[in-house]
Amino acid sequence: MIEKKVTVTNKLGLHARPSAKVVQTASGFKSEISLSRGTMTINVKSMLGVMALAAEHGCELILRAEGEDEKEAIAAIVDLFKNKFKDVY
Amino acid sequence: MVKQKTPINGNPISPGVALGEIQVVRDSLFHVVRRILPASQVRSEVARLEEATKQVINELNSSKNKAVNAIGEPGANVFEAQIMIASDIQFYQTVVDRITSEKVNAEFAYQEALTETLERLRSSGDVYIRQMIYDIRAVSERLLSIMMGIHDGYGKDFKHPTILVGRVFSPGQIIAYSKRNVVGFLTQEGSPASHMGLILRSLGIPAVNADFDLIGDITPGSQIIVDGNNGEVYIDPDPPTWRNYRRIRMRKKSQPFAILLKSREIDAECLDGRRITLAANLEIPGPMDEHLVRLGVGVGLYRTEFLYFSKQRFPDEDEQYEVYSSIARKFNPLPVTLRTFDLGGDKYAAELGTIREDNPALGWRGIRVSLESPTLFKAQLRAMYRASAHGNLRILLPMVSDVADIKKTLDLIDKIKRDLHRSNIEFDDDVPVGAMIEVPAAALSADYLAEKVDFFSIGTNDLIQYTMAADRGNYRVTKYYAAHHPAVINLIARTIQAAHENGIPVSVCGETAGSRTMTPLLVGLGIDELSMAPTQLPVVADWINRFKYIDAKRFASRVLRLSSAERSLKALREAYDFIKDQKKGNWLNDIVR
Repeated sequence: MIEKKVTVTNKLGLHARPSAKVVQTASGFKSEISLSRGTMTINVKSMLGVMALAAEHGCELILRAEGEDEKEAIAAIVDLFKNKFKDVY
Repeated sequence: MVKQKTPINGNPISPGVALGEIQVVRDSLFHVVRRILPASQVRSEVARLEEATKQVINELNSSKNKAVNAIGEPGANVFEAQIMIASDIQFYQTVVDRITSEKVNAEFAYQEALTETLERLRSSGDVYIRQMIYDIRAVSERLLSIMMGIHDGYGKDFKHPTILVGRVFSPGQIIAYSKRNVVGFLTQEGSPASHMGLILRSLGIPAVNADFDLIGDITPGSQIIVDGNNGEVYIDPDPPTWRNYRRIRMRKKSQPFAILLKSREIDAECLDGRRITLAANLEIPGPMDEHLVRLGVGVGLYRTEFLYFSKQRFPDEDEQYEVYSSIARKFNPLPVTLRTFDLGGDKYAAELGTIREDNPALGWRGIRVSLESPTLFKAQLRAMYRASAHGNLRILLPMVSDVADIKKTLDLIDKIKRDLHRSNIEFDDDVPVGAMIEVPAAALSADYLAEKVDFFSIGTNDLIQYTMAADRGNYRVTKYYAAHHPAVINLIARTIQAAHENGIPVSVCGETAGSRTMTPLLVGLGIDELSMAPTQLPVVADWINRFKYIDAKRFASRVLRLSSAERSLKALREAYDFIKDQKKGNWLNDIVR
C-alpha cells in the first residue's frame, strides 16, 4: 500500500468538475484507491464519495492505493492535484 | 362536460396565442415514506431502482446533447458531473445493500443513503462546494420522481403541444420546458414585468396569469387556449372557438419575428435627422443573433444570469469566457453590453446561502451581492476582460445606489487589469463601464455617478417599481406601476440631463424602451439609445421615422410639467394616435397646452 498527502490547490476547491476528473482517473486503475479527510474515508471511484469530502481550497487529504498498479494510480492522481485538475479552473 | 365559450379573464404576460393540452406542474414536494417489504419483494425493489437509474442516465445523456446544441460545449459540462452522480456504482451498491438488509423500499433507502453526503455539503462554508448540492438534487429528485411515478415535466418531450399550468415557473424551468413541446403557460402568480415574463417573451411563448383553482378548474389532458394578447383563457372550448383561435394563431404566428427577418435595415432616424441608436436585449444566445448582426444592431443589455439559470449553478471563469468571447466575436464591431449577474430579489440564487429575506426586492441583490462575493465577481469580471480582446464589449453594473458601489468595482477592475497585464493576457484597456439607473437614489444622484462611469442605462422596470413602491409581481397594485407617472418621467429626465452634462451617453433598457407610447417622450427627453426585445426593433424604428426631434423635444418639456399620471397618460395616448395616423404638422403642439 502507498500513502501520500495531497492538498487541494485550485481556487474553487474539489467541486463538481474536478471531482469528476478525479473519479474518472481513479476508475482507470485496478487498485483500491481511497481519500481521507480527518476520520472520513471514501472510495475515490465513487463520485458521491468524492463530493462528500466537501474539500475546499487548501484542504489536506490522505491518498491511499493498494493493488497491482498502485504506484501508477498514486502518481496519476497526485499529478491531477498538482496541476489543479488541468484545464479545470 | 359542458363546453365553455366564455373565457377566464386574466392578465396577459407574454403575447401570442397557444392551443394545446393541459399538464399541471405542482411545486415539487417529495414525501418519501418508509415501507417494510416482504422478503419476496426485495428482488423486484432492487430491479425498480436499477430501472429508474438507467432511465435517469439516458435522460441526462440526451439533455447533455440538447444543451450542446442550445448553448454550446460549456453548457454540457454540468451534465457530465450529473451523469457521473447517476452512474456511481459504489453508491448504487450501498443503496442495494440497504434495501436487502433492512428490507425497505428503494426510495427510502436511496434518500437515507444520500443524507450524509448532503449534510456535509450543506454545512460547508464554501460557496462552490455547497453548489454541488444542486447537481446531486437534480439527479436525486429526478430519480425519486421516476420511482414514485410523479410527473415533474422534466425528461421526455410532451407528445402533444402542451400548455403548462402551475403556480409560477422559474426561468430555469421555462428554458428546460421550452424545448419539450411546451407551447404556452397559465400561471396563478407573476406579472408581465416579472422575470418569468421577460424570459417567456424573449422565447416568444404565450402566457397568461389568472385567478383559478388548480384542482377545481383544471383537468390535466383537456384542451386549452391561452390568448396572451388579451389575457384570456378557454378551458375545453367548443369547436368553433378552437377553430377560430387556430386561424388566429396561423395568421399571427411569429409575425413580429417574421418582420424582423424580412427587415433590411434598422434605421431609427427622426424626420429632422436626429438618430437614435437601437439595440437588442438578449438573455440567451440564439437564432436571432445573426439577423441582428446583419441589421447592424448591437446588444444593449445582455443578461448574464441566463448562464446561472441554465446550469442552476455559477459558471466558472473559463465557462463564462467561452460564452462572452463568442458573443463578442459574433457581433464585432457592434457593441455588446454585458450586465454582471443580477441575482437575488425575485431571481434569488439559493447557493449564496439559505437566506430568507422578508423583502428581497429591497434586499441583497445585483452589485450588492457581487461586491460581497469577491470570488464570483472576480471570475465574472476577469472573464469579461479576457473576452474584451475579441470584440467591442461594455460592462454594465446592476442595482447601483451609491458612488461607493462604482468605486469598489473600479478598484477591483484595476486589480484584474494589472493581473491580466502581468500574465500577458490580451484585453481591451478601454472597456466602457456603466451604471444601471434603476434605484431612485441613483437617479437622484446621477450627477455624481456620471463623473465615475462611461455610460448610463436606465432600467425602467425596477425604477418604476421602486419609485412607485408598487411590486411589479403583484396584480393588485399593477395600476400603480406606471411608466408615465410624473415622478418616473422626472427621474428619467434628470438622469439624461446629468449624463449629457458629463458627456456620457444614456440608454433605456427596460420594457419602456420598446413601447411606442413612450417613444416620443424618451426621444424628446434626449435619450441616445433604446434597447429592447429584438422583435420590437422594426416597430420602434418605424415609429421614430414618423416625427421630428424638435417636436418631440417640445412635447417632452410639456409632459414634464403635467401634474398627474392620468394627464400624462392622456397626452402620451394622443401622441400615439397622431403618430399612428401620421398627421402632419405640429401634432405635438396640439396635444399638450
